[in-house]
Amino acid sequence: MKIIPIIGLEVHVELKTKTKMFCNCSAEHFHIDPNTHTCPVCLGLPGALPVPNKTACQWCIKIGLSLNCTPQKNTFFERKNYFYPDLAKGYQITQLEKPFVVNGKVNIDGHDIRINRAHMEEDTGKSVHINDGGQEMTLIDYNRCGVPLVEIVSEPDIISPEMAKNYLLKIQQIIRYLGVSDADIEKGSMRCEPTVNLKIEDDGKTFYTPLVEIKNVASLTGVQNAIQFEIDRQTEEFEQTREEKSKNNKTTRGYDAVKNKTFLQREKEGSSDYRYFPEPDIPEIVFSDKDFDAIRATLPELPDQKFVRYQKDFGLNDYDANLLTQDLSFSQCFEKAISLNPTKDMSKFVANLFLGSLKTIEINIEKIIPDNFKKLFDNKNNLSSTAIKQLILDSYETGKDPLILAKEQNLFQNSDSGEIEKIAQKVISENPKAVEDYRKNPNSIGFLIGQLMKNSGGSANPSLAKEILEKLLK
Amino acid sequence: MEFTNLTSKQIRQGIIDKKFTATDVVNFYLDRIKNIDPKIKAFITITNKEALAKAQEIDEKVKNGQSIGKLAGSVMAVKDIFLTKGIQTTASSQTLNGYIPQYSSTVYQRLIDQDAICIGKTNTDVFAFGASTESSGYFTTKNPWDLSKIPGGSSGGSAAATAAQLCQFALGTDTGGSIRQPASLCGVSGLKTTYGLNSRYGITAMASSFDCPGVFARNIEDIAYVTEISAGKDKFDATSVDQEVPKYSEKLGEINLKDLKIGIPKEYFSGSIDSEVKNKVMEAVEIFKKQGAEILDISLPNTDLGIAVYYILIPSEISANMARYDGIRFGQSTEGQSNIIEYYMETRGKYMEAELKRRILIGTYALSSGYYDAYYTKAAKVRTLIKNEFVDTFKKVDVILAPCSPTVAWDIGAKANDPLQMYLADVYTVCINVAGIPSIALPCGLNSQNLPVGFQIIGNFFEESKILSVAHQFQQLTDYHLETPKL
Amino acid sequence: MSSTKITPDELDHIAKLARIKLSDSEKKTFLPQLESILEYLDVLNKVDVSNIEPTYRVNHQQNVFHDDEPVESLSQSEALSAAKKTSNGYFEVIGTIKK
Repeated sequence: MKIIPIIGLEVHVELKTKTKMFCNCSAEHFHIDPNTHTCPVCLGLPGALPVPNKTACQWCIKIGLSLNCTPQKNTFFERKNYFYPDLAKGYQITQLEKPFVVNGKVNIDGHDIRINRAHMEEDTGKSVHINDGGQEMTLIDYNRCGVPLVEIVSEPDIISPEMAKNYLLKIQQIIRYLGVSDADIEKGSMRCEPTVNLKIEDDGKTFYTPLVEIKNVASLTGVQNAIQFEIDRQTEEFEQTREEKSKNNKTTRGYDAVKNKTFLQREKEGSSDYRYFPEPDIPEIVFSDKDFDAIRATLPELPDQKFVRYQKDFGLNDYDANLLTQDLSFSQCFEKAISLNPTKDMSKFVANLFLGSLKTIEINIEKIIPDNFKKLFDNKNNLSSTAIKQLILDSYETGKDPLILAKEQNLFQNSDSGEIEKIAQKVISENPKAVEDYRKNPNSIGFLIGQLMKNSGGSANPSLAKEILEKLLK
Repeated sequence: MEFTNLTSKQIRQGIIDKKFTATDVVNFYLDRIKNIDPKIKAFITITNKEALAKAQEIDEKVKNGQSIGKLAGSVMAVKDIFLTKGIQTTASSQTLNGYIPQYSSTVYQRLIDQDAICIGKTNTDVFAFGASTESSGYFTTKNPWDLSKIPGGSSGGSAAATAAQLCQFALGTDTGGSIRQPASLCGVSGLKTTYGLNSRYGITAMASSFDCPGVFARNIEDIAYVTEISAGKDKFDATSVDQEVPKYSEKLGEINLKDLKIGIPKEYFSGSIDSEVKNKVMEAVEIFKKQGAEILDISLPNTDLGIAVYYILIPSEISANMARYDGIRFGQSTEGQSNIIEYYMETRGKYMEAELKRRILIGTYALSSGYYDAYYTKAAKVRTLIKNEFVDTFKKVDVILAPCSPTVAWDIGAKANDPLQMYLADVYTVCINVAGIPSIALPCGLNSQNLPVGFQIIGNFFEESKILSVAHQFQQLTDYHLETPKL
Repeated sequence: MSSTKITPDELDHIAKLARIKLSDSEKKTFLPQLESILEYLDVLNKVDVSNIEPTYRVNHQQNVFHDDEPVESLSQSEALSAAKKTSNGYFEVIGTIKK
C-alpha cells in the first residue's frame, strides 16, 4: 500500500484592531475582569445590531493580497446559526458565499499550497468549566465575543506534518510582517484546525479515506503530532474497514495533547445544519480596484521578497538571510544599521553582529545608530573580533561612540608591521624551544603568537602577528 | 382642561405660554388611563412615577426660562418591543417578564431627548408576531370601539391607547401591517415609513429586512412632527439611511390634489374584502376625485404572492433573531437539567408563547438544508418581482390608495385557532413591507356596527412628505379622524 | 419542491435544531397547523423566477462601517444586571461539552 497524506489547514487569526468586529467595544480581552468590554451588540441583547469594523475588513484584504489572493469586489456577511452559550446571539456573523478574498497561494519547501479563501468573522466568548457544588457548570466571559477573526482556508495540498508546520510558520510570519495580529498559537491569537485524509494506492487501485477534521490543537508540535497520529490511525482503520470517503462520512475529532491521540467528538450539532443565510442587518460591501490598490500600497516588503533581496543585494547566504528576515522588526534594525554603507562587505559584517551578539538581546530600532556600525566596520582591522562583539553591545546599550569606548578600554590593536616585527624577533630569540616545535609542527605557532600578544600588552593584531612570525621563521 | 384635541405643537406652545403645565397634561392622561385602561387593557406597564418626574423636569425648565424640547408635554405610549432603559420591556412575552433593559432604542431616545413623556409600555402580539394582539403572553387588548373585538395587531395596544385618547401619540412597528392594520381597526392614523428611515436599534428584532418603527396619532400633523424628529441616520443601525430628513410637519400643504394621480389596484378591492369596507374606502376615493385628483385603475398582479413571500422570509429571519432568547444573559431561565441542550430546550420551551414557537419552527424548516433553495431563495426572488412591480407602478401614478384590512375588527378568539386564516388577513398590507415602501393609514368612517374602517395611501421610496400631505389634506376635508369611541 | 407534509420525526428534528421543547399536546396542535401553512406556501412553486436576482435587503445602502475607535463599554454590573445566574463577574449556565 502506498499512503499519500492529504492535508488541508484552516487557520483563524485574531486581528489586533482596537475595536471588535461589529461594535466599538475595545477588542482587548486578556488580563481584564470578565464582562467589562461588552455592549448590547456583542452581548446579544434584544434589539442590538451589528455595524462592521472598516479596519478589520481592510486588514482581511491585506492578508489576502499578501497570500496572492484575488480580492472580491462585492461581498456580504452571512449568519451561521447554532446554539452554544459563548455565542451570544445564537448565530455567528461570518462569510460563506462571498468571502473578501479567494484563490491565493504560498510556496512551502518548493511546493505550492493553494489558498481557497480568507474571510471575516467574529470570535465567541470564553467558557470556563467548573464544578459548582457537585454540578458541572460553565462560566462565560463575553469580552472576547465579537473580536475580529480572519479565517484562512487552504486547499488540501499539504502532504506531510512537517509541511503543515512550515505552512503555519509561513502564515504566522506573513501575518506578523503585516502587523495585523500577534498570531501567537499558544495565546490563541492564531488557531489551526487540520483536515486529514489519505490517498491510498493498493494493487493498482486508488482509494480515499474519509475526511477527519481535528479540533483542539494548541501548538505547532501539537499540529504535527495530531496529523501524524491521524495518518497512522486512518491507515490502520482503512486496513480493517476499507471505508472510503463519501459525502456524509466526514467526522470531527478532538486532539488530546497529553495522550497524543485524537478522539471522536460526541457532541454533534444535529448534523451541523447551520442554516446559513445573508445577514440582513449589514449592507453589501462593494470595493473598487482603486480601493484594492490603496490597500496593496500599504503592504510592506513580504518575508520571501526580503529574503531574495538580502541574498542578491547583500550577498548573504540562505541561512543568514533566513534568520535576519524571520522577524520584521529585526530585519528593519539590520537595514537601519547598514544604511550608511549598504555594501556586501558591510552587510556581511553587520549580519554577523546581528546574528552573534545582538540576537541575544531584545533590540529596539530607536537605539540602532547607523554611524556606530559604520565606525566599527571602518575600524575592523584594528580591533579583535571579540572586542568588536563587546563594543557593539556596549555602544547599543549606552548609545556611545564605539571608537571612544574602544579607546577607553584600550582595545585598539597595533597593526604596525614594523613594531610587531620587532616584538616578533624578540619572541623568537627568547623561545628557541617553541621555534623548534614550530619547525616540526607548523600548527604549534599558537604559543609564539601568544607570547607576542603578551609582549605587546595584548594590542598586537593577532593575524598580522601570525603572518609576520611565519615570514620570519621561513 | 382638555388636551386630547390639541396637537403636539399646540401642547408645547400652551406650556410655553404658561396656559398649563406638563404636569397638568400628564395628570390628565394618567387619570384617563386609570379610568379607561382597565376596560381596554392597552398597557402592560404604566410609568406614573417616571412620567411625573419628566413633567416636573420640563416645568422646571419653563420656570427657569430655559428652552424646552420640541415634544415637550407630549405624552407618548411605547409598544413594549422598544427597549426603554430602566423601564421593564417584555415584548409581551413571558420570556422577558421582568427584563429591565440596559439601554434604550434610538427612536425612543431621540423623542425623549426632545422632552416627549413616556406614559407606559403597550401590549402587542408576542414579539410583534401577529395581527390581533391575541398572541400576547399577558392578556388581550380590547378594541375601544367594541370591547368584544380585537384592536388589530401587532401594535394593538398602541392603536387602542391612541383611539381611547390615553396618549398624544404612540410608537409601534410595521413589519407586515402592524401599524396600518390596527390603525384602521381602531380608527386612528398610523405611519409605516420607508424601510431604513427610522432606526431599528433597540427594538426587539422580528424580521430584520422588514421591521419599520413608526407612530400612531389622531392627526397627521403629529405623525409628521414626531417622524421628522425620530427619523434619520443612526450609527448603531447599518441599514438606516443616510439622507436628510425633511421637516414633514411644515410640508403638509405641499401636494396639490388637483395634480395628483391616484392608483386604485384592483387586487386590493376584490377577493375576501367586506362590502362595507370596500364602500367606505371607495367613498374616500370619491373625495379625492371631487378635489380634482385623477383616479387610475391599476393592477398589481403579484399581490397574491405577497403572503407566501412574507411568511417564508419573516419566519426565517425570526428563527435566527429569536436564537438569543436563552435565559443566559437576560430573560427567564430554568434549572435542573443535566446538560446544555436540555437547558436550551426546556427554557425556550417553557416561556415561549405558541405563536413564537410556530414561526420559529417554520423559519427553521425553511432555512434547513434541503429546503433553503426551494423556500428562502425562491421567496427572495419573488420579493424582487413584487418590489419591481411597485417601482414600475409609481412611474404611472403618484400614490396608491387601498384598504388596510379586508374586514373591520373581528371577535376576540374568532381566528385564534387558525393561524393560516390570520395570516391571510394580511393580504393588503404585506406587499408594502416586502417592497420596503412607505404607507400612511387613516380612518374613512364607521360601518353599520360603529366599527372603524381605514385606508392607506402608499408612496414610493422616501416619499413620506407626499403621502403625509395627501393624508393631511384628506383630514382637512373630512371629520372621520375626529370621531372617538365612547368609553 | 419536496413534500410539504411534515412527519412527527421531522417536527422533532426541527424543534431540536431550534432548541424548543414541545409538549405532546403542542406537537399535536402544531403539526396540522404547520402543514397547512407550508402547503399554502407552495403557491410560489408556479412562479417563474428565472433570471431574477433575489432581494435580501430592500434599500441600496453599501459600505456602512464603524471606525476603529473604542468607546466605553457597559460596566460589568450593567452587563450582568439582567442575568438570573452569575458568579464572580461571569454568566453561569449548566456545564457544556468542550468544543
